[in-house]
This record gives sequence, C-alpha cells and structure tokens, in this order.
Amino acid sequence: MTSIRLFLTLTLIAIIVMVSFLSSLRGYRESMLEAESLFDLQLLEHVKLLSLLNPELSSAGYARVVEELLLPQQNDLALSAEMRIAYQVFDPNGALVLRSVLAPVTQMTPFEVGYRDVNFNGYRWRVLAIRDPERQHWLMAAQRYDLRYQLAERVILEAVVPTLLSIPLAALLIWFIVGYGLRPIRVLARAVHSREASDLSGVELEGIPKELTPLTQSTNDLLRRLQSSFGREKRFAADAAHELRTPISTLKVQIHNLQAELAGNATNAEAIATAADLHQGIDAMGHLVEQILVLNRTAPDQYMVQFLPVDVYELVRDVVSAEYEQILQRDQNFELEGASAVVKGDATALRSLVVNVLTNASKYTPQGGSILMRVERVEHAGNAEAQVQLQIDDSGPGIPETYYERVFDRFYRLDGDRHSSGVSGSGLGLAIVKHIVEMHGAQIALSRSERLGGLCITITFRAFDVDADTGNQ
Amino acid sequence: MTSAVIIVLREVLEAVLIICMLLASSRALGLRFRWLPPALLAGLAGAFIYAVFLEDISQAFEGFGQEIVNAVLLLLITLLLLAHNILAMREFKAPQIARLPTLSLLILSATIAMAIVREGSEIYLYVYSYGVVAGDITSVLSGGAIGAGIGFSLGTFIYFGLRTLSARHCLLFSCIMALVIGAGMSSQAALFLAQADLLSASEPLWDTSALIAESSLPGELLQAVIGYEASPIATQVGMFAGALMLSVAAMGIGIFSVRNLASNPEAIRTQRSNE
Repeated sequence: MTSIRLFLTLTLIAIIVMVSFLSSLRGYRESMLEAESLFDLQLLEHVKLLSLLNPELSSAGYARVVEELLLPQQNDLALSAEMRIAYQVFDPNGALVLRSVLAPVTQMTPFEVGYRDVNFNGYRWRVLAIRDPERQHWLMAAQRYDLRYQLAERVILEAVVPTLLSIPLAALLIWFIVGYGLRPIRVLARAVHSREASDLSGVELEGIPKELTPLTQSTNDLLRRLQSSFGREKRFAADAAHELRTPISTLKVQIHNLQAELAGNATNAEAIATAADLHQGIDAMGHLVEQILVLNRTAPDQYMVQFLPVDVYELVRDVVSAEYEQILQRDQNFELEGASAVVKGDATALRSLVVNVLTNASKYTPQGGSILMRVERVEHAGNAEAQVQLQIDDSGPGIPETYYERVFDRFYRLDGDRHSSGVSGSGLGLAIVKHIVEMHGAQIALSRSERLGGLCITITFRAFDVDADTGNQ
Repeated sequence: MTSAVIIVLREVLEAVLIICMLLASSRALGLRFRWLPPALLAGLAGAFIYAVFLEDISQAFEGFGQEIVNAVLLLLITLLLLAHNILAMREFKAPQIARLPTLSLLILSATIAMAIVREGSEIYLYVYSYGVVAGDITSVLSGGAIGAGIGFSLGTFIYFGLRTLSARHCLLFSCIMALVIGAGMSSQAALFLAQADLLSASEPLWDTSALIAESSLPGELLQAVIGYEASPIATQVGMFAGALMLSVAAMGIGIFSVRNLASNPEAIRTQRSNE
C-alpha cells in the first residue's frame, strides 16, 4: 500500500457509491412499480367517472366524440397535454356510443373486464375495460405506456439525481477528513524527521492519538538507549584522552632528563638521535591527545556555553604571535590583512579554530612558502545581515576538489597516514574546525587559492553589531 | 434508466476488470504507474475517434466494418492478455530476475488503451444515440453514472483485493482473470466474425436463456466477465476453449522461459550484470 490516505479515500468512496447507487437503483425500480399502480388507479377513477355520464343522450348509431379539455396555461403542467386518457363507451349491444378524440373508432380491447396492454395509433397503451353493472355499458379508458413511463421516471429521477451529484462532494469531504485524521502521523513523522542529528531527547507531542502511543513510546525508548550509548562512547574517548595526559607528561619529563644526561656524553651520537626521535614521537602523541580532548569538548552536541562578542582580527593576531615560532622555523612568509571584526562566539573554541587552520596551513606549506590570513566584515546591500569572513590562503599543494568533503572526517588524512608533503599529523585538525564552525552557525568552504595557488579556507560568520547590542541594552 | 445502468455497467466493468487486473500486475512486476495516464488518454482519444467515424467504419467491408473492427480489437486484446500471462508467469517463477520492463510497459499500456477504445466507444454511442438523439438525456446520464459508479467501485475493490495478495499470488490470480476475460473476448469476436460471414454460423449448441437470460442483470454481468452467451454457436465455444488453452500454454511458456534462471544462481548473476 503506497498511501493510506489514497487507500482510505478510494475504498470509502467506492463503498458509499456502491451502497447509495444500489439503493437508488432499487428505490427507482420500486418507485416505478408503485407509479404503475398509481397510473392504473387513475385509469380506474376515470372509468368510474365515465359510468356517471349518460351516453344515451346521443342519437343511436352515432358515437359522440368528445373534445379534450386542456389547461389554458399548458406550461403549468406540460405533460398534462400528453397524459390525456383515451376512452370509449359501448352500449350493451357492443355499439360505440361515446369516445374521446384520441380513442379509435374500433374497440380498444376485447369486451373483458380488466387491465390489458394493447397497440393502436402507433403506440402501446394500457387499457382498462369495465362493465357498468347498472346499464350494462362497456367502459374503456387507455393511457400511452411511454408517457406513463416518462412521467414516472421524471418524478423519480428528481430523487435519484441529487444522490449522484452528492458523490463528488462526499469524495472531497472524505479526502480532507481522512487527511485530517492522518495528521498526527504526519506531525509525528515531521517531529522525528526535522530534529537535529544530535537531538536524542524523547518525542513529546500533545494530543497523540492512542493508536500512535505505542509507536512514540518505542521511538522514545530507542532514543533513550541510543543517547546513553552515545554518552558512554563520548565519555570513553574523553576519559581515555584525559587519563593519557598524565603518563605523557611524565614521559616528557623523563625524555627531557634522558636528553640532558646524553648531552653530557658526546660519544653516544646514535643514542642522542634516537632520544630526539623519541621526543618528537611523544610530542606528537601529546598533541593527538590534546586534539581528541578539544574535538570532544567542541562537539556541537556537547557544547553548552554562553556566546560573547569576540574580535576575530585581534584573536588571529594573538594566535599568530603565539604560533609564530613554528612559521619562523619553516622560513615561511606570513601576512595578516583586514581590520577589527566582531562575532558572537566562544573565545576558547574560536582560538582552537584559528590555531588549527593556521598550523594546518603552516604544516602543508613548504619551507619558504607563503601564508596569507584575512579578516574582514562584509556588508550586504538591503536587509541582508552583515558577515565576518576569515580567509586563509597558502602556497601549499592544496587539496583536490573531490576530497573537499572527506577532509573534515575525523582521522581522515589525504593519501593515508603520511601526507605527500611528508608531514605527520593527527587527522583531527579540520574535524575540530568543522565542529567549531557548526557550533557557531557559520559556514566553511574550501577552494583553490587564487592568490597563492594552494588551499583557500573561507569561514563565514554572522557579524555581531556592537553598537546595536549596547543600544538594546 | 435501468437499461442505461446495465449497459454502461457492463461496458465499464469489462474495461475496469482489465485495467485493475493489469494495475495490480504492474505493481507485482515492479512497475510504477507513470504509464497509466498516457494509456488512458490514448484509449479515450481512440474511443472518441472510433465513435465519430463509426458510420464510415460500418460501411466499409461491405457493411460489416463495425463487426470486423470490433472482432479485431477483441482479438488483439486477447493476444495482449496472452503476452501479459507470459510476462506474469516469468515473474512468478523467477521473481525480480527476469523482468522485461520496457516490453511490459508497452503490453500493459496497449491492452488498457485498446480495452478503453472498445468499451469507451460503446458507451459513447449508447449515450449519444439514446441520450442525445432520443432526448432521454437525464435518464441515460443518471443511469450511466450509476452503472459507471458501481463499475468503478467494483474495480477499486478488485484492485485493492489483488493488492492484499503477495506479489506472486497476485500475478497468478491476474493470469487466471486474464485467461477467463481473454476467452470471453475471443468468443465475442467469434460472434462478430460470424455476423460478418467470415466464420460459419451454425445452429446454437445450447440455450440457457431460461436459466440466465442475456438481457438480465446477472446475464449482462456474466457477459462482462466471461463473455456469457445464452445460446452460443459452435465457433464461439471453439474460440472460447481455444483461447483458454492458448492462455494456459502462454503461462507454461512464461515459466519454461525462465526455468534455468530460477534454479541457477550463475545465470541470475549474468542476467543481472547484463541489465
């Protein structure tokens, strides 16, 4: 079944049509039979009236022909003209003494009492013949069958036609009523469908019909189980990372001591080199653990902070001065353009974001390459909101367009564990950036840098109007 | 009005039976209903053209044009129903493996269009000659509406009834319906051809009009479903039986044509990779 609404509407209409049409049909047939007997009764009354006439008045041997009486305004009863009754009166000897204009000169039916169907004047007639018990006259009255039928049908159809015409109306009503009745299902579906991926709270809808209660209950049970297992998973990663911090710090201290000890002993060059590698490895591990912690802390569904105005330009300057050593080490040119631009956000998270895009650019830009950062407030014409754009261009190898979506995945690194640039990393940097961008309701776009030829990351925030805000307060 | 009800109901029922059965089959064959509106429109247009040119058509073939065109239409529908049975039985034997979507669409659309041409032109002619020309329009239209309403309601029940069955049972049931309807249609075609002196018209083999008169409501309904004839001639009985046997044979061919696919996973894979 594709649509409950269509199914219910079609079958309900079919049932209504079937029942009402069949009963109309039956009503029609019964009414037609009833009309027949009414017309027969009319013939009988007519013959009774004939018996009150005194046909002896007419001279013997000549039948008197009676003209029809017609209504002056035929429109009043159009059929009255057609529904005329033909009649004949015969004396006891069988001679015609009286007839209406419509009646033939010969007898319409044999001298036998009762109703009979006969043909004359090119039509089929219903004839009643009766013998007057006093004067022994034969009295005959006849009606055309087709006219009786037409009149009866015209009257009865008046009752049938409204039934037919009401069906489309019923269909329309059924369509809307079924749609209305199914609305809770649509509301429930929409409520489940439109929620954020991170929103695992139970579905709470007012006035849920009892047919849907089991469904909402089991959906909510499922969501609850899902939420607790998600929570466990998240806590595990965060807890594990947190627990690893202490041993890593201890390791760092110990390798520092070891290196100091080895430095005194210049003969063991190989051991010094190994200790340096070890130091680098421990640093990388420490970085990874920190990144995992940041990633978990900034996951949009985890984050619960109040956003405050942050000047992105100032923030970038701050971060650059902290990270400048890395850029210097790689002999890279760094340039910052733009002016003060305020957004509403979380300073710690935004700092993580800037650190990550900057170290990312520095890491993948070759020795002696260039990095360009730009912060600007973009005003739009009309009522569109102003935006703040943070753009970072580098002269590195860039990313092929087909990987633009994938690089935001956790632990995804272009060309596997070791990037073709030969740089190692956690594979979490851009995932963290994406989390923070989503958390702030901003947009991130990757493209090819037009100025430096490498990767260009553009992050667009909603601008925050300091003046307007203080004005409101 | 009663006669309008019966005549329109008979024609609508003939068309609706075929349409609903094919719609249910189409679902079971995994086809969507996009083909239906064009087929319906083509059928209605065809019916209109046929009815408008009826006078010219009747005068063709030495005055037997109408009988011959009717017989040809009926025989074509019978043949298309045979083709439907082959397709349905392929699907029945090897579900989802041996589908021929384009061919199925063509066969289903053509069958429905032709059924509408045949029944639609009859209804048009009836309403035109008894309603418009004879001036009995209210009674003919009311009767026609009642007949059509009952016919479409029956069709709705048949369609949803078939849909309650599983896809395979639905196909089997559709095939049996197609078999009976096709046989009835070819027997009607035989009568038309006999009237046009193209087939020999013998004495009636039997007469059951005392039991079920052709003009009675049950008689008309039976005619719509199985082509009931109270006093059939030998050719009609022969055509009826022949069409029945051909239909069964078509079902057999359908099953036979996919016997290897249904039991041979390798063949299934080849077939799928060819699609």
